[in-house]
Amino acid sequence: MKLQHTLGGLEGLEPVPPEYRVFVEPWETRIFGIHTAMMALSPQLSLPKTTSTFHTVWTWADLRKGAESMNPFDYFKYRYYEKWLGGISGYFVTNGYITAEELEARTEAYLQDLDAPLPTGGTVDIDDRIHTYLMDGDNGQRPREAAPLFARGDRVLVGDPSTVEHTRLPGFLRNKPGVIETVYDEAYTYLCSTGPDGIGPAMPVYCVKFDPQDLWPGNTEPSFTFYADLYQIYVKPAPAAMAEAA
Amino acid sequence: MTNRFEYPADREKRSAARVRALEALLIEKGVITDATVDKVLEVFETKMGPFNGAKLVAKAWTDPAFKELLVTDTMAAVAQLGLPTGAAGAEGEFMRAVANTPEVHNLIICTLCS
Repeated sequence: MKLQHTLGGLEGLEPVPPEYRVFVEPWETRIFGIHTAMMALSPQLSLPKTTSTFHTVWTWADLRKGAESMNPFDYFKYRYYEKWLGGISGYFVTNGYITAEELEARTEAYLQDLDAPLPTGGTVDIDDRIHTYLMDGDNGQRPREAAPLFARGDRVLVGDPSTVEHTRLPGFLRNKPGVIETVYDEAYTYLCSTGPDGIGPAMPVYCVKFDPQDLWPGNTEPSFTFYADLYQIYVKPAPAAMAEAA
Repeated sequence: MTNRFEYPADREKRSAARVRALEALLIEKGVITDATVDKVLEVFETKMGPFNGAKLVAKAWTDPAFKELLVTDTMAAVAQLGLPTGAAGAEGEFMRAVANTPEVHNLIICTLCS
């Protein structure tokens, strides 16, 4: 498991400095816009082809793969959108859209004059597709093909799948007991396959209820319940002994 | 925690220059247009943003029947406000509203952030 997966379970990090601003610096809005455009132009979507040269898949999962592959110290060091800027710049270099040298050269040029104009270009079909994506979204719900394995009230144990490049399972829930609170309608895909981690194809999703004393023994407030939405592959039947003890 | 790390003096300026360089290159390479980023930001500033949630909450404050619908069938309540398809468009499809009571306070967190 990676440090980035278990921030909810780490001690000794001192009080969390909350950041209430959506964008701390004006430049952050631009990388947010670029990322959103990439998601909308990503070729796996069922949207009209455009003149854009973007031809590789980009989803939230790809952004997250970058963050989870960082050195944990760098993960803490950089602000939210600094990580985006690093990850997205690296993606365009790795996939051959730009070179590191031209990005560095152009950065130096804008350092001399941040207000130097952007180039012009592009056709409106690109922006039309992005607008369609923003309005319609990319709904991951699919018809359920098999009955869900669990029902409300079932006692379960969270799994501990192999650590790969990306997961949607918070580290502090691994191997913890819980109770099914809600079986959501239908089934849900994920943005990509996470391989041995197990998500990607459509599967049921549950809201699972946890006793914080199980998550953080002797170190939690009273009258507090923790819920997490989890894909079915992350949830296992509770061992018989555990079910009897309950 | 941030004072544990050292940052260059031109930290923000360098990031601002780098993101502008990236945007410039992406326009030149035909990935996006010169209007793309501005248009995306305009949507989030005018059509999809926290103000949609604020509208829902304000209506729930003044309309008990709407509040009941909002917490029992959130998407049906959202549909009454004429927001873009799929609630608020991208990724707004499965929102669920919860109401605080004197006994229950809800805190919604992102467990594995983007």
